Amino acid sequence: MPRPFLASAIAIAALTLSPVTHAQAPAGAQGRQGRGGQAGGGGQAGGRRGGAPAVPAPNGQNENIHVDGWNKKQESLEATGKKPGPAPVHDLSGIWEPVPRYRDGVFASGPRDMPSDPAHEAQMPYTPMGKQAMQSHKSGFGVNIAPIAEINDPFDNCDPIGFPRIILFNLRAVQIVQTPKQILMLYQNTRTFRTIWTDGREIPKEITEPRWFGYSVGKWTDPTTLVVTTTGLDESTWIDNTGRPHSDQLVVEETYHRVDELNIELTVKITDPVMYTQPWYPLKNFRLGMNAPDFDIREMICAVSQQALFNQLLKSTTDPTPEKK
Amino acid sequence: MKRLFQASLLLSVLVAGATPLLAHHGNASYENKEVTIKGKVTQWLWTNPHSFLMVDVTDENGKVTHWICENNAPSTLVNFGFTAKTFKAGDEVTVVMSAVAKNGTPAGRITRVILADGYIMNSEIR
Repeated sequence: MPRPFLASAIAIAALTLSPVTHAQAPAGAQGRQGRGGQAGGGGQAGGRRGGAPAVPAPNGQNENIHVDGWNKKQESLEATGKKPGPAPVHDLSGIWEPVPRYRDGVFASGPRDMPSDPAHEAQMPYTPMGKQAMQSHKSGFGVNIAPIAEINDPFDNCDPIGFPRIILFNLRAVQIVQTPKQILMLYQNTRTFRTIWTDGREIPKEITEPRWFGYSVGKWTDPTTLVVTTTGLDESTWIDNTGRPHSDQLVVEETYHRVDELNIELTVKITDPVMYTQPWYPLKNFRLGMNAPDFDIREMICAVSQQALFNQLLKSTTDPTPEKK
Repeated sequence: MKRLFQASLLLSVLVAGATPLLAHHGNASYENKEVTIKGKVTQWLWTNPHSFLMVDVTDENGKVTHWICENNAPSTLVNFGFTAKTFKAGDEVTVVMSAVAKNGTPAGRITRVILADGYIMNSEIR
C-alpha cells in the first residue's frame, strides 16, 4: 500500500474521529460484555444462538446478546415470554424491531421478498427504461454487483437514504408515535423520521417539490390495519440497496397490520409505470415485534467524514499498484 | 496456557469463519482466503458504515506492514460485546480474516480477533 495513502488515511482519522479513536480508556466491563460477571461469559455455550465459528475458546469468547443504545440487554417482549393480547384499535405506537431476529431487516442484497438474486431479478417487471436505469445503478450488492471503484450508490456519499430505502435497507428499530393528526416513524437507520398524515387529507395532486421522504398519508382500513400512501419522491434515491430504480411517478403503499398486541406485519407495494410494467412487493407480511418501552434506539448515522474515510480505505483494496508485502 | 492459546490459534486458522454481513459496499475487491496476522493495534475506528481495526505487523526482519482490517457495523457489533473502547493503540492482537484484498493490499475482512489473553471476539454470531 502506498505510504502517502496510509499517512493521509491516518491523518483524516485523527482529525475527524478524535473523540472516538483517541478515547484510550482501558477496556472495562462495558468493553467486553459477556465477559466476567455475565453467566456463561467464560465458556462457549452461554447464551450463544449457534452459527458462530466452532473455534475452541479456552479463555472465553463473546456472545450474541441484543443490546439497546444504553448497552442494556433487550429482547422483543414476546421473546421474553410475554403473551400477546389482542391488537388495540387504531394504534401502532411503540418501539418495534424485526423479529424473530433483530437483524432480519438488514436486506443488504435486496428486501426479503424480492432480493437481487438471479431468480428474483428475472421476476422483476422492468420496463425497458427500468432495465436501463437498473443497469446504470452500480451497486455493491445484487446481480449487478460492481467493482468498488465503479459504485455510484448515492448513499455512499451520505445522501439522505430516502424513502422507501429507509425501510428496505437496514430496517432496524423504529419508534412509532401517534398524535391526533399524525403518525411519526422514528428510525434507527440514519436517525431520521417520517410524518404520515392521518387527518383525512389526500396525497398532493401536484408535486411542486419532490422530497427525499415524499408526502405520506395514512388511512385505517380496519381497526388494526393502516395503509400509508407515499408520493412525491426524489428521483435520485434508490428503492433498495441493490439499486432498484424509480421515477417521479413512484407510489409506495405500506400496509401495517397489527396482528396482535406485540406484532405488526408490514407489506410494501411498489407502483411506478415508468420503471415497472406492474406493481411488485419487496416485503410481504414482514414481521416487526414490540420492544420494551425502555428500549433506547441507538444512533446509526451516515457521517460524511466517516464515510469518506471508509471509501478511502476500501479504495485501497482496488489500487492497482499496492506496496509489495 | 500459552500452549492452549497456540492450539486454539492453529485451529482458528484451519476453521473457516462465518460470512459477515455487509453495509452498502460489496466485496468485489476481496477474495475468500483465510489469513491470520499477529500485531499491535494502532487505531480502532468505531465508524459507520463499518468499523476498522488498524494493526501493525512486524516481521522477523523488523519490517512493519500496516494492515487495514474491516469489521462489521457498530450497530451490529454492539450486540457481540464490542464497543468504541474494545481496542486501544498498543494492544497485542491476533486477527483472523476470511477475505483479503485481491490486489495484495494488506487489507481484509475480520472474522474474529483474539486478544492477548486468548479471549476471542467474533465478528459474526448468528
